[in-house]
Amino acid sequence: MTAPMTEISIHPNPHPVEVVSEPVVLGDENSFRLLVESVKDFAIIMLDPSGNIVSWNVGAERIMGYRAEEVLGEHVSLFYPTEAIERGLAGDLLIAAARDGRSEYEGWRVRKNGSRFWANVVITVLRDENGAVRGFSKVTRDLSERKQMENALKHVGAYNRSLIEASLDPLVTINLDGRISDANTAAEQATGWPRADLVNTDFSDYFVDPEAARAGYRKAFRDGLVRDYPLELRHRDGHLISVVYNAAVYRDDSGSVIGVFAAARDVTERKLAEEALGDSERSFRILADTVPQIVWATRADGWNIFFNQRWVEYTGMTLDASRGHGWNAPFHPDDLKATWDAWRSAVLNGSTYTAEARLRRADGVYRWWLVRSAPLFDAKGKVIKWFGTCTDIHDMKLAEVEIQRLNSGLEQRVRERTVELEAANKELEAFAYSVSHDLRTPLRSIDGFSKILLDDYDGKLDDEGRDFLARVRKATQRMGHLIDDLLRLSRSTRTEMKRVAVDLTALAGEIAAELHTSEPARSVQWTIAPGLVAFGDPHLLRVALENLLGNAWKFTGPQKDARIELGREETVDGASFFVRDNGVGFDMAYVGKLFGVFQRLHAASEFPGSGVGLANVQRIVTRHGGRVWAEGGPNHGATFHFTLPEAFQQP
Amino acid sequence: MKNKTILLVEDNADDVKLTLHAFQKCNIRNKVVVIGDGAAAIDFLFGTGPYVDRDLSDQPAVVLLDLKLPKVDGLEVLRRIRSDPRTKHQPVVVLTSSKEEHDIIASYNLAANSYIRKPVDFEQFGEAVRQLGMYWLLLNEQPPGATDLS
Repeated sequence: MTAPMTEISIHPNPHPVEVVSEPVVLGDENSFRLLVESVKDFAIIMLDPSGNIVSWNVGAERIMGYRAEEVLGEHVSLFYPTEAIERGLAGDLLIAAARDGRSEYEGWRVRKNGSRFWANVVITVLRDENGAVRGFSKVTRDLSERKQMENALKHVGAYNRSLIEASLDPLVTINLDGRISDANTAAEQATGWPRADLVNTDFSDYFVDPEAARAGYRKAFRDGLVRDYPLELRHRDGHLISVVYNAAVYRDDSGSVIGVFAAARDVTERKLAEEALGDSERSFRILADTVPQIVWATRADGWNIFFNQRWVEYTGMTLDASRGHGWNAPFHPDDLKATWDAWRSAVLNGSTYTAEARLRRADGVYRWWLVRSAPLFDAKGKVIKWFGTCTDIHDMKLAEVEIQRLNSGLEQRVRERTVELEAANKELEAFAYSVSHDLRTPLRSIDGFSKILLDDYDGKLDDEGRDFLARVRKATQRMGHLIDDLLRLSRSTRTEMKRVAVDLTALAGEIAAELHTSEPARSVQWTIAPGLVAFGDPHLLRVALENLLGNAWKFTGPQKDARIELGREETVDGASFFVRDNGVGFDMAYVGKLFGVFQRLHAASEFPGSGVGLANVQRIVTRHGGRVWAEGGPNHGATFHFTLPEAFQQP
Repeated sequence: MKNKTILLVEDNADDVKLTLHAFQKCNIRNKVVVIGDGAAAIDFLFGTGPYVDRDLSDQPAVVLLDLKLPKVDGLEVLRRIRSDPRTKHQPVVVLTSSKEEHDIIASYNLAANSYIRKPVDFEQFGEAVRQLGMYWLLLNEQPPGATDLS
């Protein structure tokens, strides 16, 4: 439409188009009136100088909808829209016509039934022979009528159909009485009925709720259009399709509504998705309000859009106050910056985010919370939302701090203790050194001079004197051995340990051979299991095995068919090595004394020894992180079990 | 060779007596110089202090050196002996009560010719001293320097 943008355009120098309305010579006034009155295409009316209607033709009746008797004597502004009346348009046009001879104007006019039409109006002043204004003639053309007609002509036929068919959405046109007047292929498919069957049937028949369908098109008729009107379409085969309707009225040449153009959109999928979403949304909310954590969500840019009930309970803040960046308020001032830095970087990078921060409870108490969040991405990998939780870690945090405090205290104590131990160890070393040096020296003197007495003063001593000196010497030498054993024991604890694979089988073989060399006359049956390997210090393990196998050798002395066995066994408690003999054994009542220093279960006269050997074995095994224990019975032999690392372990 | 001296560096009077007794028992008649502390031993070997007039060409056939000594300990005495060209070949046998590994290693590191731990049993001690004397006084060839100057 090429209507002027402004409603009023007054032409001072008009060029009348359709009608000549120059001041007429009133020669044949009657025949002129007859002519005017018979014109149907134009509303030609006469106004008195004030603008009141004094004549009304057929055209006026047709265009405006009033009959002559309804409007004669009424003011011409009757046909103007309210807003034009308010602007005093009617008066202006008359004044302009009086001044310039005529005025022309295009704009909206109102029919009797209230509908509007686009009009071209020409007003011409009528004067008497003295030049006084006698009145006005007003010729009105309905332009919209012509335009619509042109459009209708232009678009009628194939063009319209193809437009309708081009739509993939079901389209129908509905008559004023609610019957379908046309339908496209999509409508055929949606309903399952061919077009011929659809046409002239009631539109509402195709819906689960016909009343709703009727209400829909009635609303379209009333309001001119309907948007997103939800209905459920029933297919011929019975299945239901959720649709939303968009409908608009269309009009005939005269502008009267003659039908509704209704387009449906299948939203079954969308509706299912929405329902599912609704379900998951509800589930989410229930879940969010059930968990003891604070649950929240933000937009992609970090603007908060959701908090669960826990947040409200804890912070005492309203949801409204928490929206956006309102959630900042309960954060401890000392934690806010770090939290923001982490959060900002997470939002920038779309990465997950974790922070620990103190949050103020409604009563003002701060508690530690673990804040975590993860982004929700769309199909293109763009962040849509952030979901986050806050977990109360206050008690854990306090425990952590306490543990740290204890740990640092412990470390301090360990350092102090280590220093003490190192000092004690040094002292022990010094002591061991002086034992080896200084305690042995007098013994040498005692033994040495006793021997000289025995050798050089033999004649001056009787048998008893010689016996006493022999005892002195024996005791001295024994003490020498005790000192040596004691030193060996201290060395087992003090020396630095290596950790390598030690072939116990081979070691036991060597020791057995040495024992046989020391007492070649003895016959002992050895059973040494093959492939016994332990991780540890080769020297210390040799000392331990020497003691265990040496003991077995010693205590099987009286046995005719002495047997000594080294093996390995698996029990429910784990694997262990053992040395078993069939010697004199021991009474289990004294098993607790076995591993004590200088503890002996046999008289020295019976079995020599210092009582240090097993103590040494225990120290060595313990230093390797193992355990040693014994079982036996008098004359039933003895078995010593011990565990050692069997695979390399970091000390 | 018979007039070669033995230097016994030992502060314990009992050990001195027992050592001398053992030498006597096995008929070692060589002169035994007994010195009771490390500092005096160094003076003796280098002709300093009270030994300033001593003939340094007459060095002992063997030095029997205890490690635990007053003033200067045995290892220091050994270090001084080995670090001086005049005495670096001097035969030195460490004769001590200690069986500590670090003492043994330190002694050999300073090129001790031998390391013997004094046994408590006097019979074993006597045997050790006898073998020492036999070996160092009879079997062992003296370093050329010492021989030439004798």
